[in-house]
Amino acid sequence: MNRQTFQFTVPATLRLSAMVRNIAEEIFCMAGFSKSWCSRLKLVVDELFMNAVKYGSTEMKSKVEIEIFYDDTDAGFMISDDGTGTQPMSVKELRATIAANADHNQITSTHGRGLALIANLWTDGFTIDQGPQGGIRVSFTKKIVTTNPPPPPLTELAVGMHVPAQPPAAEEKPKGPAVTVRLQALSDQYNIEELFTPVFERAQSMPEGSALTLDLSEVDYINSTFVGHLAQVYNVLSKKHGTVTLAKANKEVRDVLDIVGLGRVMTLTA
Amino acid sequence: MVSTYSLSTEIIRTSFGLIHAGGEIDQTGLPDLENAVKPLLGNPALKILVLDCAALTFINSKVVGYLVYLHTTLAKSGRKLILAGLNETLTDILSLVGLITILPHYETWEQAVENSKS
Repeated sequence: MNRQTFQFTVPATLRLSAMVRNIAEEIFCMAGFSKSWCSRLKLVVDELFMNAVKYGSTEMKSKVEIEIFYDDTDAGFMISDDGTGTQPMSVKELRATIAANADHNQITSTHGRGLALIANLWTDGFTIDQGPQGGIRVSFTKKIVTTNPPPPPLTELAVGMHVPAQPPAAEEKPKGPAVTVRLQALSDQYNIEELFTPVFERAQSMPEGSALTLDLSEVDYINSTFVGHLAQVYNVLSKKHGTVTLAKANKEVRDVLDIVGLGRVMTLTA
Repeated sequence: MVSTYSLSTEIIRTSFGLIHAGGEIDQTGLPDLENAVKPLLGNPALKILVLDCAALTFINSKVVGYLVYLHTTLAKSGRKLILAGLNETLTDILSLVGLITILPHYETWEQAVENSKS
């Protein structure tokens, strides 16, 4: 197959977000991506367009240039702005911002172009350079994937997870063995799986009524992925009438646990 | 083409609010979602808010961020946000940020209502 390229220029307005992302989705589907991957790339495109308009353009005055391509094996997307936004960034600054956000899993923190997580996880290559209009050009490539990604690993366990209004009563002491596991500090989002694998294995092998204590004294901060894994460990043990205690969490970690509600289902100790 | 979406609110009972969301919601539709939620949040009798996503086909990071805010705000006052009818795309997005393990969710809003009675 020859390379197919689609180029278009649109006014910089967020009212066109839906049009841009849906055109991109259609082209990715034509390229052969599975439905799930088309949906994922659609979200990536939406983030890139939003950032180009919001941070790199003057609403309705600027134009945003877009190019989408695919061939037999790869597809890609490129977007460039004119750099006239209210919060202009240099290529170097944007790279630094994205690298910083990537360490903290902040998809929801879009301020300052926080698209690091999806860009890192869902594309094969992500580049930022100087665009032809004087602003920033952001592009990604992705090997064409015809199969759907595996379902999210935590979904099934989380369905119907009920959060009791009160913490477990003090007299409800577990009848099984008590085990303490010390968690290591997070260095980046990619070591969370590695960090939790032995914890899952331990939780799964523990008998009915066991008490698992996770020592968080070495954990400086936690992110949403970490919280998700904690919830999974809780689900494993609660099904066996066991308990999970989080020990020695610092204030920042405790605040996050309280905010997301885990402080009400797991016991926190000093 | 602009984003097309639909929103409607139901009060199942005084303590239980339900919002049906449909279509694609991004930053252009988010203010309407916020406006739909606002009176429910301001009702002190409300204990549970269910967001029925059965007809919702797309949300972007702005909406994910709002769901985090909504969950946090409700949880701080001992209330709860429940999602219902998440499709594969929405589940994928929410899983990416770990929200799927934090927010209770059910296949249908009717199940969410039934399981939240106690």
